[in-house]
Amino acid sequence: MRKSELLVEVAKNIGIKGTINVPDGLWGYGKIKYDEGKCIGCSKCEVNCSEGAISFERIFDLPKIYEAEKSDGSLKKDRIVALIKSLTLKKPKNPINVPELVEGYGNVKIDLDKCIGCGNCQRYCTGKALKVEKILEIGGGN
Amino acid sequence: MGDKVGVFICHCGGNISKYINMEELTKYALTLENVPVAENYIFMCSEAGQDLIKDKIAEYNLDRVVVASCSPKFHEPTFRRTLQETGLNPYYLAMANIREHCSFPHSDEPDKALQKAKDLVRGAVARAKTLEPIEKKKQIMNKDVLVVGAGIAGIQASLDLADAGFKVYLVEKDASIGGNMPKVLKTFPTDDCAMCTVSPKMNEVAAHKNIEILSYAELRECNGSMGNFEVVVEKKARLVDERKCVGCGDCMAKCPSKTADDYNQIGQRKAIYIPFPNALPKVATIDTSVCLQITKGKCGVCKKICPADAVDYEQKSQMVKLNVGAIIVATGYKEYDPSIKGNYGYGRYPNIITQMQLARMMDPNGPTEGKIIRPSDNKEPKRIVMVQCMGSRDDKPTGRKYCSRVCCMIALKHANLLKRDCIKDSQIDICYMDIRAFGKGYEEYYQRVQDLGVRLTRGRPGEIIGTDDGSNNLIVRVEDTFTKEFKEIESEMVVLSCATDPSDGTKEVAKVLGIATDDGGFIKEFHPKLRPVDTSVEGIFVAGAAQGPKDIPDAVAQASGAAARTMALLSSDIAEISLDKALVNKEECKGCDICEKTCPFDAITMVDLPEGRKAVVSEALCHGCGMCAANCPTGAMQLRHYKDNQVLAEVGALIGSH
Amino acid sequence: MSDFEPKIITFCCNYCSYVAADTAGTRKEHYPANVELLRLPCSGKVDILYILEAFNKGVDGVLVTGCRKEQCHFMEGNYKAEAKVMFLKDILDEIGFGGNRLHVQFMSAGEPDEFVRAVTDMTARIKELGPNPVENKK
Repeated sequence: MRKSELLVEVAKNIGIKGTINVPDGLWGYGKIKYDEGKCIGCSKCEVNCSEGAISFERIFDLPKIYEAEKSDGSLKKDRIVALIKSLTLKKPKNPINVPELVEGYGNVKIDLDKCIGCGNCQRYCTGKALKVEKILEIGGGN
Repeated sequence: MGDKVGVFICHCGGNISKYINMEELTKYALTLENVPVAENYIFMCSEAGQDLIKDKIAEYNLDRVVVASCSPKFHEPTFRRTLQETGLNPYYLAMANIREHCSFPHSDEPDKALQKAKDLVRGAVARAKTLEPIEKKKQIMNKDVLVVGAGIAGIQASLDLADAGFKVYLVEKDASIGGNMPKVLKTFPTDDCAMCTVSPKMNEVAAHKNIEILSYAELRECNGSMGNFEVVVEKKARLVDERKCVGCGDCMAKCPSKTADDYNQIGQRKAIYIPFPNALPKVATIDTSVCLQITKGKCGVCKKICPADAVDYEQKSQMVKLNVGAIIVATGYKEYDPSIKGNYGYGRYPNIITQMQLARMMDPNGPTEGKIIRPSDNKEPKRIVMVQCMGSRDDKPTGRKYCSRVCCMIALKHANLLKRDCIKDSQIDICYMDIRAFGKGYEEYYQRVQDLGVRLTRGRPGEIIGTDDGSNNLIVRVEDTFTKEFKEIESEMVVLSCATDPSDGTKEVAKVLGIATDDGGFIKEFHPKLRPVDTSVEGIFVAGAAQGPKDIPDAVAQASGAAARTMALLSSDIAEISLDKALVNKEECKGCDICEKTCPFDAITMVDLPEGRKAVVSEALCHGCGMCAANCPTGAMQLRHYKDNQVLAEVGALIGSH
Repeated sequence: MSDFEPKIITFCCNYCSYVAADTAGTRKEHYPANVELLRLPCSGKVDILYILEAFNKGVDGVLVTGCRKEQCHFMEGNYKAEAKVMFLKDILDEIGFGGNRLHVQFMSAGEPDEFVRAVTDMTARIKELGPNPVENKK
């Protein structure tokens, strides 16, 4: 059993309900969240994940990008996405394969079962697209 | 941001003004925002034209300049200089190519040409406003020179430079210096002995205190820029110690392994060889592909017999690093391989040979000791047909579109030598498309050959077929295009005048140096008329047949030209490198490493700074291609002079809807 | 056929297609006047941003030209340009804009005929497709 799961068990047993906010500086609890809208496709998360929980796919997931939170628009990549949106005549349904030699586009797949919340991906993520959500769901009411 | 852009429109003496209404275009330019002045003039590149630009810069206090004229490939440097002379940064210039891209191709549609010229001027003005100054970096000029290729052109260039006091590294791929010239026996139009001309030059090179020869060596790497090139040359392993070998040839006599003679192109040579008697350095080289000691691990005859103990099977190739300020490419040509085309049966019929093979036969020091013998039966042929334009002036994919320039004279020279010296009672026929005897004394030579009774038939043979009587004779079928008569000429030997191809080394060296080649694979000159020995890269020059087919006088003249250009460059103590290279905005760089992966020249390194991981560009290594910028996801990496805002300003203005 | 005159932007490599276009001009070869050329140091400098921006500004077609395979002055810029164009074509198809408004063509500096053919074909192709569909809606 992982440290975080153990903690949830203990919390449940002593009667804590709802969620716990994990304090800053304390790693090993919580799960990663990926924001495709911010990802700049460097693939460093994959290389630096010690648990093999992250795989970087050469896929530009257009439908997801459309749904993603708008970033502040300061990067070239944001301008590109905005332009794609403005040229859209029909909503995209399929992800696009990213050919060899094209860099800066990709999709991150996370195996949450393997994630130990160490935060390495967050530290290496150049686009600030990966974040460990430092919340522990204890469950059992709110 | 520039807010006072002057627009200067050139008539090009009618080349532009004949098709585009200059007054309309000038009026239009004045309607553009931030354009206080627009002028048109007959020749903007002339001194008066440049003075006009200078005057207007002063009068209107202009901070950016647009010149609408011919291609920037011609006069961008001219107008940059004009700006510089007024104190403006030379990169404050934008050009609209209204000649090559407008008046010429759209000469049939003056209205559309005018409209497009307006678009181009609008695009250039928009771009001009965004242009930023680019400074030059000053470096100490390295005064040494690398000459690649030691044929007659490389030798001449090296001698000129060395005589002027410059240190020269002369790199030759083959075992001996000399290139093709020692093979051709005699030179037209004087019929003097090629070896007697080139051999003293080879010796002079070897003895010159300012020249270091690196033979049996190849250029592997080149970095840096004009004034400071860093090159890596691989000195291949001869398996013979150059310092010990005395060139006695005992090893060659005893070596048991033979292979095709790549120097003579007929006959065979030994696995350990000295390519020709006057070779320089006169040392043996082991051909590792056929040496029994190397391929099978047993033999060792040469090592046993060598009186100087020079053979060293363990010798390794060596990487030599050199620093030079300029490079001359003189990598030469090779004869087109007629089996590529295959139409005349070269390789199938034994008695079809090439002009170079014939030249080697005529050489008293050559493989047949000067005897002309046909390969099938070693008999002297009495009837010989020469076929011109084998592969030249041929727009099929297997052919070469260009005229190879020397083959007509080579055929005439060989016909002359055969009739006068070798086989006096022979009948020589030459089938040709046109005889091009354009050089000094060439036409007279052509006349003399005709007077000897050499028969010329104007026509490209349709086919050559073998006779079926067992004689191995050949029948050349050709239509005489003067008389419209079909001829069948029976001959004992056919000699093909093959096209000139760039040497294999030419292609390899062009790739290593990053210099442009033309569609024939020859080195492309910077400007066909005005800068014929400059290449696309500053500080790299070209000489001889590497630039295109040429005869010996032209190759030598061009070599001296390239040497003179090199000296002009190296006469300055400071190398100025323009910084139109990639640039990182450190604040925007997120350290994703994509640019580092993208750069084909390893010019970018990632550095961990206190403020985070950042990309750093080496200005010496950056070639200014901009691929890093195109791949940068954040926009932090930009190519100076082609920044995103500069390109997009032009894109938007060209489209013109906004 | 309508009298629709498409506007086409051609991104040119400084070492091949720009020179091919210069030579085509010098030889007085005619090609449609609606093709505007923009010079870049290498086709590898062509940015997805530039192509999208051009379409967004209303251009009807974008042609990217680069050196023939194995002939890039900077080793692989042409391959990178081709990959980008293929990627963007897929995107433009997926969003219904039409990837066939974007095209990549390789040529050497010594092939002015190839340049003329490329821009002539491109113009014919875009004429058939009609005006920029987004610009048309505006």
